[in-house]
Amino acid sequence: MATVTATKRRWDDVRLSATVFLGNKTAVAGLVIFLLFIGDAVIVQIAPGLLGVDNPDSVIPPQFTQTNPECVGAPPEAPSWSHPFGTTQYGLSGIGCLDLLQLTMKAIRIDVAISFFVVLTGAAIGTLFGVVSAYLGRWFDELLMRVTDVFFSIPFLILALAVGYVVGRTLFNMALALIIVWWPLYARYARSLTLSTKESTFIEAARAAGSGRIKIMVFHIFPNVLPPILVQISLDVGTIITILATLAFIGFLNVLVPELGVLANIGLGLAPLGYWWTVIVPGLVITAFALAVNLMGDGLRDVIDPRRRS
Amino acid sequence: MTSYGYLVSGLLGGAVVIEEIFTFKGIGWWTTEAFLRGDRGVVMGSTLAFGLILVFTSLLLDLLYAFLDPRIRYE
Amino acid sequence: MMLATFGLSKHFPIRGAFRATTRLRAVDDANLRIGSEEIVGLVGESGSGKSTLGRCLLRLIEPSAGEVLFDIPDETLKEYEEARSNADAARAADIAERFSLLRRSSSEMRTLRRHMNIVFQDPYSSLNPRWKLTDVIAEPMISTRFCTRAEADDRARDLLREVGLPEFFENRYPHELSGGQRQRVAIARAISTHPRLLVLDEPTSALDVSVQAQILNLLRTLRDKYSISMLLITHNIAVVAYLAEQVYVMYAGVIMERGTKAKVLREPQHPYTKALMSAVPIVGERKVRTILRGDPPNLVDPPQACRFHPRCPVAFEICGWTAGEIAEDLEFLLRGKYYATFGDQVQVVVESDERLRVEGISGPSNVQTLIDNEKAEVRSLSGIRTVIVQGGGVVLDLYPPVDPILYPTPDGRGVKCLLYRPPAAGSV
Repeated sequence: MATVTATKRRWDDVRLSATVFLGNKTAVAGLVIFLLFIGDAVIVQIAPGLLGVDNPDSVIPPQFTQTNPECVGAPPEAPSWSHPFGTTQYGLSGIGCLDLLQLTMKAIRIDVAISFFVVLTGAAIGTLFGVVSAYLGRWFDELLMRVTDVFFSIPFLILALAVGYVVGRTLFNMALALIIVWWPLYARYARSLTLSTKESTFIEAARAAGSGRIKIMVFHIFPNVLPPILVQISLDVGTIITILATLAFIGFLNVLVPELGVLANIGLGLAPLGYWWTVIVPGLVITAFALAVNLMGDGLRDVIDPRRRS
Repeated sequence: MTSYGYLVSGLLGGAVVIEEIFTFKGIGWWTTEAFLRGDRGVVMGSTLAFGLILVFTSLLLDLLYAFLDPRIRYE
Repeated sequence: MMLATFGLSKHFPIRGAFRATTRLRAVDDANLRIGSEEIVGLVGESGSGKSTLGRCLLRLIEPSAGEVLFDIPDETLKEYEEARSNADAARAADIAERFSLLRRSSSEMRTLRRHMNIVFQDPYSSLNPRWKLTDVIAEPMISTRFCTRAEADDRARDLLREVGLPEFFENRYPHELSGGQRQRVAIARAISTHPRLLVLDEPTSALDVSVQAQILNLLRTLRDKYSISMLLITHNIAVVAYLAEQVYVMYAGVIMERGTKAKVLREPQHPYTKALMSAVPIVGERKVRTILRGDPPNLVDPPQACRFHPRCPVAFEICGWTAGEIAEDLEFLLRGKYYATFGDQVQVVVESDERLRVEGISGPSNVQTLIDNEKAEVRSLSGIRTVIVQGGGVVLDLYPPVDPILYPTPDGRGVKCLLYRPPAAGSV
């Protein structure tokens, strides 16, 4: 009996959250675009054939020049029915006929995966450090804050470049560099949330109840710190994807992978010659994703804000 | 006004991209180019330079705060 | 005796940017007694340190000095008091070792916490918004290993009923409840481990007046049913009048008066208590209010001797006037009201803690007459012992201040005021 009501209450809770979120039209639009991206990423991962994508990990399929010798030196083609996003060409008078729609679909998978990986890992590290440091206080807190100060005093793109210089220029290292740049943000945020939660009387009540430090941290502070962090994560997925593309665009990677920034970089040399779509298409895709995620994040913020719910 | 601090940080980072696109040979382009060449000294030096610029901007902003808002005083 | 504190003090360190660390003396030398099954009221204005004292008792704040003896037999307590007054440190330490909460390790303290708990003022922030009510109520039972998880859940339901809430509230979250209902939950949590001592920190201040009475009645019922001793911290005299048996009055971190409710509320003796009680309206009675001048003192640098003396309407010679306080008041008079007689060259110089010097008097003016005229109004002038004309100036010698203690009065209360000092202690 008791569990039945409990399940029902929980279900009501979810329904209320959904109502609040769905009431926000722009957030729903954001969600739809976001789901399109996620869907693309998942299908390319599991069954690339469904979307007509082959060799999801490479820009130029192996033996491409042997099977399509006419494509060597072919100029980019404008968007048409056979190539809705047009085609691009790798290197000036290099390999042409590269379908941008296919490349974009491959790139979305990589970009979405990396940005989720970066944000989730960064948020996990940052939140852990932030909560522990705010709760322990003293020299540990002081140390962490000074470390984050160092990170904040260097523009993050430059810092990512510097880290990339040290760890090397592969795709995984790019993600690593971004994590290193990004975790202090979460550490600061989690710390400030913890400090305000720590002042609540229920923490004192828990101490009066005999609960130990670890128990208070895990069961009282974490549940109150987590929801705003989750919203921040959802917002940051969009931000990270732009930074990711920016890094790839300025040539962070020394390998050729289908990535939106790399695609834009390839197009950069072509655009002045009149092949504008080679830059605009990857750029618009990045913008669309970042925008969708932001709109969705705003909707989520309404959901967790108790004032908007009641 | 606090947001200007972040703005400056963003602008400095943005310099890297803008200079790359328009091949404007400023410190951002120089940094990127050194990064691609693997020039350790330049990468380290320009990172430090960017850091210094940002720190001094923040300092300037803080002092400006105290000037504009009489309630803030530094002991 | 449920609880007895000796010289309990809490000084909060304040770190200045470049200055040396200073201390805020929130609670100083508090001696509190809570008898078994007794409700003791602790009243005082905001900032008087009453909440800090209450939290020190449960070690939610770690006291800076003193002892908190918990659940000590009366004979042992007497023995301890004797040992303290005879400066028998070894025996006192031995007893304190057995009964003082401050000497318990954190794991011992955890088990002991089932015997004591606290109800906070604000029921909106004292319940974790992400916990269900059962979990809230069960927390002390589980954390102090009072019983197992399953038993705690069962008991939580019983407790909901006990505090007058329906059982089906168990799966609700705090935000679904009103202020009064939340406070009931907080009380259920506090009594869940059958505590013997409950600290109530302004339990009704955040509630609607209509709900306040219900909560007070609930507390009284629970006390009678489970024989719990309670410390009721409040600024609301009416609440104390309704619930308490003994009353302590606190001002600026110091206990000023102690006694039974009837005595303290009806015939206050300490000048501060008198002023406090005169502010309480009584139906069908006309009374003269004593309105205190000034503000409560800064506790970083509290007034010397009696902390109330700067605002006390009856303060006299030895209440703790410092040379600085007297010089300020005197200069104010000389440059203001008596400007015409003393001229604009007059100046008050602080020579030492007990000596002032008035210089630059032009014309035949008498400082003694000024003092005699103004003494009744400007109390600090009473701290001047002798006035001697010397050379071009006037030398003023001051009375040495005397620190008051809680003097026992014939009707069995304690008053921390020199007016109640037994004459045997020697007169100045």
